[in-house]
Amino acid sequence: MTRNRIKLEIEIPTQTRYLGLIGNIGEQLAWDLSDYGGDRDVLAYNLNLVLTEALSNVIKHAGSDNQALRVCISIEGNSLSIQVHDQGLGFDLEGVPCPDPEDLCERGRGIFIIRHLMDSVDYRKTDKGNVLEMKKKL
Amino acid sequence: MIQTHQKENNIDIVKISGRLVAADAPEARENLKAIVEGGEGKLIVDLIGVQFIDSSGLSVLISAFKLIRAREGRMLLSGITKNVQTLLELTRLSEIFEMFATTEAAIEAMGHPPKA
Repeated sequence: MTRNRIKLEIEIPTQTRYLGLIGNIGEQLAWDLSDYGGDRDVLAYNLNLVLTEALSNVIKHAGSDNQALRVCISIEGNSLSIQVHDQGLGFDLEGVPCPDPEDLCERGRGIFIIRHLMDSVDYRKTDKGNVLEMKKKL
Repeated sequence: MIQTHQKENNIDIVKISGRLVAADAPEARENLKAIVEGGEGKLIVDLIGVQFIDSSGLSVLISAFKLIRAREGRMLLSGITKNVQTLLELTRLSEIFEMFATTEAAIEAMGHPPKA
């Protein structure tokens, strides 16, 4: 059986109108995997959702429309890694609380969804900007 | 985005279709707000045509729900697809929203008090 090996690097403006494009790429990746035993419909929807939520969150905190985001998606065997690089103000990943349905807060569910769908989520500041990194075993 | 808005008796029925994500959320939020403010406190949001919804789309529903609840009205969701259901359950909004398989069932339920 062919082993999955995909690497993508995409640069997009920090505008929400491009979320659909990135989400669709995630869906297509799910369909193109040569070796996946799970439900591809679910994987396609979830990859779309994770990418949409990740970029949406980074754009909210990017602070400027003039900067580009760099999205790196890597699949090696059954290991999926998604990195979103930005040059914005950044945010405190650990400071995002778990949403309480009773308080009906309209924010904070994006990170919660990503955390649920991925195995690990990390956000760090580097010399070259911020990196949101999400990993999952497929 | 909001595809249609019709009134049946005194119930506002709004059909949303396509993607309900961050790029569409501000307009959808404003449209629903206008419908709630001009309505009689009974709103059904039909999501059967929604192919994709994210947390920004959920916030649109929460916003309308809070608005209509503040007016002592009631909002029901209908046409819940599997993907939308999964997301509502994951975020536990399924515990807050009243959900029905079809708009007809939601219209019928609107005539009865909400379940405790």
